[in-house]
Amino acid sequence: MSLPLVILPASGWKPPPWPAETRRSPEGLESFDLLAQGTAAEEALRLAVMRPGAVRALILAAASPPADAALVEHFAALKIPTLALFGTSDERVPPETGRRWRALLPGCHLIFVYDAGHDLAAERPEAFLDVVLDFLSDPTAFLVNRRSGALQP
Amino acid sequence: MKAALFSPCTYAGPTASSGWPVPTTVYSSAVAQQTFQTAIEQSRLAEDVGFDWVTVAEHHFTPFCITPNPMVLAGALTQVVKRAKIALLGANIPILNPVRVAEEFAMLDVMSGGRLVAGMLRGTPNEYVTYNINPAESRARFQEALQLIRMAWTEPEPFGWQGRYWQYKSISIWPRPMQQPHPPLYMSGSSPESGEFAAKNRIGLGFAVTSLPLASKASRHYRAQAAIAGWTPHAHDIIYRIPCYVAGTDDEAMDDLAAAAAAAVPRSVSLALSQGAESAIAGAGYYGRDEAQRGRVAALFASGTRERIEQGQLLLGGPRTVVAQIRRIHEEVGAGVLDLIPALSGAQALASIERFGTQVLPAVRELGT
Repeated sequence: MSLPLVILPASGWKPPPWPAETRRSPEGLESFDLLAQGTAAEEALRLAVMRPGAVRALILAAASPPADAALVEHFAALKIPTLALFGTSDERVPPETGRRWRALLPGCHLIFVYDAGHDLAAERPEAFLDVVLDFLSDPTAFLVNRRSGALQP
Repeated sequence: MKAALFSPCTYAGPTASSGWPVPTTVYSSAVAQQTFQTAIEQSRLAEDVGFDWVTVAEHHFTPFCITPNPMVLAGALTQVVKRAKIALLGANIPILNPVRVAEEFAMLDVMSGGRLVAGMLRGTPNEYVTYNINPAESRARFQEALQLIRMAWTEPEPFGWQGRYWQYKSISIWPRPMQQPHPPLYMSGSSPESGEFAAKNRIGLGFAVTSLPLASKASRHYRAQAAIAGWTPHAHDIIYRIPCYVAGTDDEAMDDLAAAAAAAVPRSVSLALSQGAESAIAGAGYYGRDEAQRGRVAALFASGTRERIEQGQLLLGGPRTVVAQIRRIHEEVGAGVLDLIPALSGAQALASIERFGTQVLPAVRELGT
């Protein structure tokens, strides 16, 4: 199932080219997926909490955990499938930040994007798109590889 | 100076001898079984006479070394060798599943009570044929695999990996390495690129199938690069692998070696590919900036005994002579770990290991400490 993707960029961040419909705002959407980069994570969590049932899946890229503990608790209760990406060379939000996200949202999928810095979507766009589209194709079944491994028919 | 005994596990019987990979048209399971028993027996003796490490390594499709998965032999050694470190020098990580390598190394570290030394190698050029991997990608695969293995050892939360060469959805290895944050790392450092990478990442360096001038140059490069990275390698950060035979006297050593060479069973110990395949690997950039690496192996086997000693490719003689040869290697390369390949087999190998431990090692112990 494909839903519109709402992208909440941190200031100064240019979202990568996307192969499907993207929005900057959830206005008028009944159901959507949400992508937040960097400091926009807090806004994404707040949006999900404000509109329960509207966010199908959340992707966080190089995101610092929000300081608002009550917000995180409310978000966790919604059990929205979440993918948290970190670049292995990110010096602003180092990959160890993933541990804090896992402590806040125990069910979230933590992914390290190898050899990428803070703007991981720009530095390794193919790797970023690949994992995000894979996740969005079925957020609840993300762990299972559904691609064919056959080299030849 | 620390001493390691390397068990190359060279298949002890005759074989067909036509390049690499070597056919198994001439092969005996009994000989292969005896080869592993000998490795275990030699390792046990090495520990008894004071060696610091025992070493195993990975090669494929050849009687030269019948440990395609050295982890298996290392697992056996953890239960036989009780004090010495178990050194894997190493795993050919670009051609393997890095998560599996991290798991196996962690198991060995726990099973040995924290005695694992983890060598991470690109492997010899022929190994890129072994599992059908493009040798042009060897360095990039090496670097990614190493970072992934370190992450698998140290990251407490399950994580996925979106790499260039490997992808995983969720990794959380059990058991964890016993040594924290992880076992000591070594890599091969013959090429300038490898020395720079090792220095930048604070990884120890190993030299094998080399010569004193080559290793000395590479070692200086490594130390210079480490200084730029803000650290000073200890002598124990540099391993020098070399064949060794210690006899009662120098004359006896020369005679024994000559007699063994004359009586040697015909067997393929070359890892050389056909010229066309070798050119393709060189053309893929496998050797990096230092083209002099090419043909090193052939040069080693081509030179005579005295030339090999002079080049730092063979330790041979009575104990006092071998001590002098080791001092020279230490002075020129700064190596603090000698990884000894038994140059002879059978009872002579055991006698040489014992002489090394009791008469050579005490005299070189203080070097580099």
